[in-house]
Amino acid sequence: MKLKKQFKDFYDEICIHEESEDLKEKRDVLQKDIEDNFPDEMRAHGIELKKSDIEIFDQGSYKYSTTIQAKVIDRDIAVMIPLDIEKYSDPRKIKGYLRDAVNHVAARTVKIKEPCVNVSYYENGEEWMHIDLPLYAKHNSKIYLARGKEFASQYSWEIADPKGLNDDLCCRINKNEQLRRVIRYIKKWRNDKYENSTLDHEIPPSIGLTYLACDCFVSSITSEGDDDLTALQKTMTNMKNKFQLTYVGGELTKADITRYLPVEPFTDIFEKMKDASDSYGITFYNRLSTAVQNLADAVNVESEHDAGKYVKKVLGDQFKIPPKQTTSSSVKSKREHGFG
Amino acid sequence: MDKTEIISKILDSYEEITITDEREDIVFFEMKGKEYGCWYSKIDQDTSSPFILVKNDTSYDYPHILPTSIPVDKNLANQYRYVCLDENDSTVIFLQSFEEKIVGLIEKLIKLLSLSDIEKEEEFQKEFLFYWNEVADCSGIFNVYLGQERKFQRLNVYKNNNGKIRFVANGISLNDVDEEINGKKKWKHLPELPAFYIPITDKRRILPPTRDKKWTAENIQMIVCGKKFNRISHDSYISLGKEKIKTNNVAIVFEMEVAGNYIDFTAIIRFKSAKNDTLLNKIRQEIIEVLPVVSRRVDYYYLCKQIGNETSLLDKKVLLVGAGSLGSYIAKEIVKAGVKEITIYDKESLVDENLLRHTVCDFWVGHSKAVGLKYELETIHPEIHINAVNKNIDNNLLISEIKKVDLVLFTVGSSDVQLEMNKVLKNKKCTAKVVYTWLEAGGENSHVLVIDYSKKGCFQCLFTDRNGGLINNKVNKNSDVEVYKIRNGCGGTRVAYGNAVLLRTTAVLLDVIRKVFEMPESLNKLIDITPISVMDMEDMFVERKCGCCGDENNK
Repeated sequence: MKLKKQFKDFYDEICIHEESEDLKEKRDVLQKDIEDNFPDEMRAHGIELKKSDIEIFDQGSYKYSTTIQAKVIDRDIAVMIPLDIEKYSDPRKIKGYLRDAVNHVAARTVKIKEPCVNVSYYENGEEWMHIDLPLYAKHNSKIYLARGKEFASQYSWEIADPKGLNDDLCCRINKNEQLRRVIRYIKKWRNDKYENSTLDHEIPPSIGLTYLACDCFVSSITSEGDDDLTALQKTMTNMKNKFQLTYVGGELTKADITRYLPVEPFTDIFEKMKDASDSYGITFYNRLSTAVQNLADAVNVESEHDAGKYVKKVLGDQFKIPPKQTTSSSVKSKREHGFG
Repeated sequence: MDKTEIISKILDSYEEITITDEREDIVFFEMKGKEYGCWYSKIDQDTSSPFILVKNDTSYDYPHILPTSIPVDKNLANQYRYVCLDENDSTVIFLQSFEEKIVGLIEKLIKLLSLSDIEKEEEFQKEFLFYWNEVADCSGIFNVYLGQERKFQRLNVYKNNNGKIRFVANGISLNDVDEEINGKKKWKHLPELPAFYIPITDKRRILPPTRDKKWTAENIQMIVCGKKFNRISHDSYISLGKEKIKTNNVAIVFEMEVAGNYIDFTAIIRFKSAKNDTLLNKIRQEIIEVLPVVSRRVDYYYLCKQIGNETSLLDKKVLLVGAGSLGSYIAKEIVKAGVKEITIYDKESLVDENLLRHTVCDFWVGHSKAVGLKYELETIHPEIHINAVNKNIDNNLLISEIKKVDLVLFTVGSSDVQLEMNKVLKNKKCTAKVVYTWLEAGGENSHVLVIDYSKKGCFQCLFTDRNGGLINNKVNKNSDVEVYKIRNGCGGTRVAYGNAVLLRTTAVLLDVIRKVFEMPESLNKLIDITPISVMDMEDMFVERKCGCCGDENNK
């Protein structure tokens, strides 16, 4: 089996296994602020909210342990409150009250984003962490996500099932460590290849990649242990094969990928990417194809050193290439030591 | 072709290399923006190898480029530093031609200069202690005694009159800590320097200090409260928040795993004030200086790991009956194999004639062998604790001692003593493993017998015939041989057998003891040792008709 140690070292390198103590402390303080101040803010606008009615829970990669190192720590914490959304039909206002509840500390910069309230932390003028607070309303036994920027014309309470989504992903990923690793490799690949991308919806979303990886995952275990190279190669090949391609005059003009959420609102995770530009899907497909080709070369090539070079093209500089094996017949290296 | 020409020709064949200068014994070339020199010795030796220097490189942020300058120019116009490209003894230089040596060097240099950031970090971490000690303050000597457990803790700090400082983990007891010199304790507690052990669980981005990149508060804060991920365990972090400090200095022994080994490095951290606060807060807010110091990890667990000893012996207690020649050899070696606690029984005193086949020195002539052995063993390492009893063991003492030990070792010559003790151990259902070892008359052959008294087989089986009758030790090979005895004038005798048999027997015994604890369920066994062979007889000695361990109806 090729590159076993290199994959292990790479995984150790990119992994974030748990919240850092600093993040944990900042999250605890933020949570307390929400619990202490959000009811007052709501009350000031004539909405009754008890501290005990606020439910705060984990969302995203920290919940199902697929977090990888990134330039900025990205944490998702859901805030759920009971609210009559027919009476309070403008989610932008409620998000504004949540923002005001936490926007009183110099260390934080709080902004309202389309799907959440975003709390950023800066050091020496650079953002090092943000905590996204998606706000949910419980109404008539249904849950709704507050969507819309502060002054956007489009806004809505969108039906959602954040806990169902958590459960679904935890159920798929937990107890399958190779899948968890493959998801992290793919996220790392995405981060590297889209390092310079800044446009909205240009980058394939983590949740989309995670679901595609789960759907397409092929386990590979040999007598020597887990073969992550083969598992990654097969999984990414299957992901590539999920695209619907449109050619005009031999030229690829559209590469669509679709994955519906398995819970409310059952929408296509890649819809926004598709709506934004056809070129985004093509770029995604082309980059995936290149990765698949490099991984196939890594699987097929005999030398472990050469295989490492191909994988490095996919996963980046943090993947270490094993040394070349000496094929010289004359014995020049030796395994011995002093006798101290 | 002379050597300079050979080097130049080889260098010239690399696209990425440009030759800049040639001298009598060194060829300079440029690669990746820096100038290097390939230097060879004019005194041709098959076992010498050329090496690479970097010229006028003022940065220290690259691994394997050593910090100290080499005086190549007589007038010191340029600074040269050695580029370390080989581990000692990794190649057989003798087998290589001069050309192969040069090609090998250049290939390694190219590889070194092509390292990715993550590979550079790995190389720096491999040589972490070299860099740490290079910038460290060497004025103090800090010996660190840690145990097997990798858990945050406050260490006990002791200092002696010579300025030596010891950081000692809880649970480690040192044999000289209560020693006195002129009525004063040799080691004193040092409350003004609290010390802590912090195991690092994630070493990413931890680089050693270099000459141009000293460690500051940020490095310590990154380890203790890193923003992106934790480098210490949650438990350590919580403990740091509980430990109160009211000094303006603290010593921290960090430990991290590098390439399968644990390395320990110590920093003295100076705070702005001595105000009473938690260690965590002081690290976050009060650090004004980080001073790397040279420390040496010297605990028994660590030393055993360094030579590949079985660490399961570290917590085993041994009773050694007999501190004669064989007992002294065995005692010394089992201590070096990892046993830290031994109780030794022997009432004899050392005489000059014992010296050449006993491990204690002539200082102990006229004194108790057991006591002499205690002092010699305890000087091997302060974690060794020997209880020397200057008397021969009797039944009652044996009954009391077996409750406290994991292994009983008989190294007495007398079969009568061993037979008597064997009966006691069987009757008392001794749960400790018991090893009998003895030299045959004549001293050529020896034997090791391992007994677990919950199983069949005991020392008396060796003295029992097929019918249950008592006979002399039947596994001795040449019991009837004429032995050259030296009489010492008071009924005692000494056999002149040299000392090789002691080494042979001790070597076998070390393996036996290791296996006894590795495989506690293994069968009782007898091993015969001759000058040319070691024969494991498994359980052939078991006799159902033995009067001690045999079936009741056969007695």
